Amino acid sequence: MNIVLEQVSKSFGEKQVFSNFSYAFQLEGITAIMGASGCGKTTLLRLLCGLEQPDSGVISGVPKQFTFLFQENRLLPWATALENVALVSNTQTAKAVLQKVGLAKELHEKPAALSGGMQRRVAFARALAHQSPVLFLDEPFKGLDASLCAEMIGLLLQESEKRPILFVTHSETEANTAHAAVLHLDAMQ
Amino acid sequence: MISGMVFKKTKKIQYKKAARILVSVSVWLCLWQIVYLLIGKDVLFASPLAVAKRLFELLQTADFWQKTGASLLGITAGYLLGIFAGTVLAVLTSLSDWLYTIFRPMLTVIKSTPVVSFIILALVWMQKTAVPIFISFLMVTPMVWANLSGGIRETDRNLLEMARAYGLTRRQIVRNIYLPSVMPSLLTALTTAIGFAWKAGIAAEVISTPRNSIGAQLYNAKVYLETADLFSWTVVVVLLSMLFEKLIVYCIGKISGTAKGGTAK
Repeated sequence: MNIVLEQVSKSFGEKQVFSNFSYAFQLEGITAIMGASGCGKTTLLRLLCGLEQPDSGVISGVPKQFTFLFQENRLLPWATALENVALVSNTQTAKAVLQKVGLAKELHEKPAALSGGMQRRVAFARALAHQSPVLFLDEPFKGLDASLCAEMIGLLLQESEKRPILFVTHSETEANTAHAAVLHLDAMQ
Repeated sequence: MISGMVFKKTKKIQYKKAARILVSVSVWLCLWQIVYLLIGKDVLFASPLAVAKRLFELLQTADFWQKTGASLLGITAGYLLGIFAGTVLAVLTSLSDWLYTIFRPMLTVIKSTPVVSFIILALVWMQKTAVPIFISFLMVTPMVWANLSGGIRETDRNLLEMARAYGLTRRQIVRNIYLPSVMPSLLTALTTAIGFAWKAGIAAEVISTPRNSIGAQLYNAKVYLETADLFSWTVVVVLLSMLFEKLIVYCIGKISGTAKGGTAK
C-alpha cells in the first residue's frame, strides 16, 4: 500500500505543523512514526487516512477503508466492553479478541468500571477486531505497563501478517520490540 | 439466605418510602384543613373532606369518565404531536445551520408568547374541540425541540469521529451514539412538557369550553361558585398529569434500556 504526500501544508490556527512536506509511504509490515512531542505525528496519521485534510498539497492513495486507534480511547460509555468491540465487528470476534487482550472476565463491564489500562485494551481490541486493509494506531500502548505492552506488541506482530500497520510512539523500545521500520518525523521535515 | 436478606431489606426501604409519602400527604392535608378552617367559607375554599366526597360522587357518574376521557385524549394527542414535531424539527435543525437560524426565532416567539394569546387566536381559527389539542401541541413542540437539538449538538464529537473512522452506518450511529447521548435531555424535556401540556390544555378548555372536557367543568364550577367541584376537577387534572408522567418515564426507561443495553448493527 502506497500513500504519497506532495507539498502538503497543514496548520492549526497560528501553528504550522507541516510546510510543503513530501513523502511516499510504502506500507508493509509494521512502521513506527517517532518524533518529539508536537512535531505532527498524530496529524500525519490523520492526514494519511483522510481524517484530516491538508491546507494545500496533494495526498494520493488514501485508503477508503481503514482502522484507526485514537490517542483517546473513545469508547461508548453506555456500552459494555463486548458491545464496544462488537459494534465494529460481531459478538463472536469481539469475544475472541477481548480474550486475547486479557479481558475475558470484563466482557460485560462498562468503561467506567474498568481501569485506564483495561480501557486502552478494549480500544486496542476494537481496532484489532475491525476488518480493514490497513491499521493506523496512535500511541496504542499508552498507559500500559511493560509486560502488558509486550503482550499487545505480540498481538500486533500477529496482525501485521494480515495487514500493514502504521503506529505512532514515543518509545524506542516499543518500536524495536515490534520490529518496526522507524520513521523519525523530525528528520523527515 | 442472602436473597432472603436482600428481600427483607428492599421491603424495609419500601415501607420507609411509603411512610414518608404518607406523612407528607398527611401534613399537606392538615394544612389544607387549617386554611379551610381559617377562611371558614365553603364558597371560597373547600375542605379536604368535601372535595373527597364530591370526587367520590363524580367517580360514580358516566359523565365524569366521558369528560375526563375526552380531555385525556385531546391533551395526549397534542402532547404526542408536539413530541413528533419537536423531534422532526430538532433533527432538521441539527442537520442544517440554515434551518436552525430560520426556525429558532419562531420557536423562541412561541416559548415567550402568553399561552392565552394563542388560545384566543386558535378559537378564531378552529373548532372548540381542536383548541386544547393545538395548544398542548404548541407548548410541547418548542420544549422538545430545544432540549433535543441541544442534546444532538452536544453529542461527543470524538465518538462521532470514531464512528466515521470505523465506517459505522447512519443507523448504527443514531442507535448507538445519538440516542443514548440525547436520552437524558429528552427525558427532561418529555417529563417537563407533560405538566405544560396539561396546564395549557386545560386552560384552553376553560376558555374554549368544549362540551366534553374537564376545562368546561372547571369553568362551570367557577360560574356557579361550586368550589368543591372546582377543587375536585383540579385534583383530577393533577392526578392525571402525575400518572401520565409516570407512564412516560416508564416508557422512556424501556426505550433507553433497549438503546443502552446493546449495540445494534
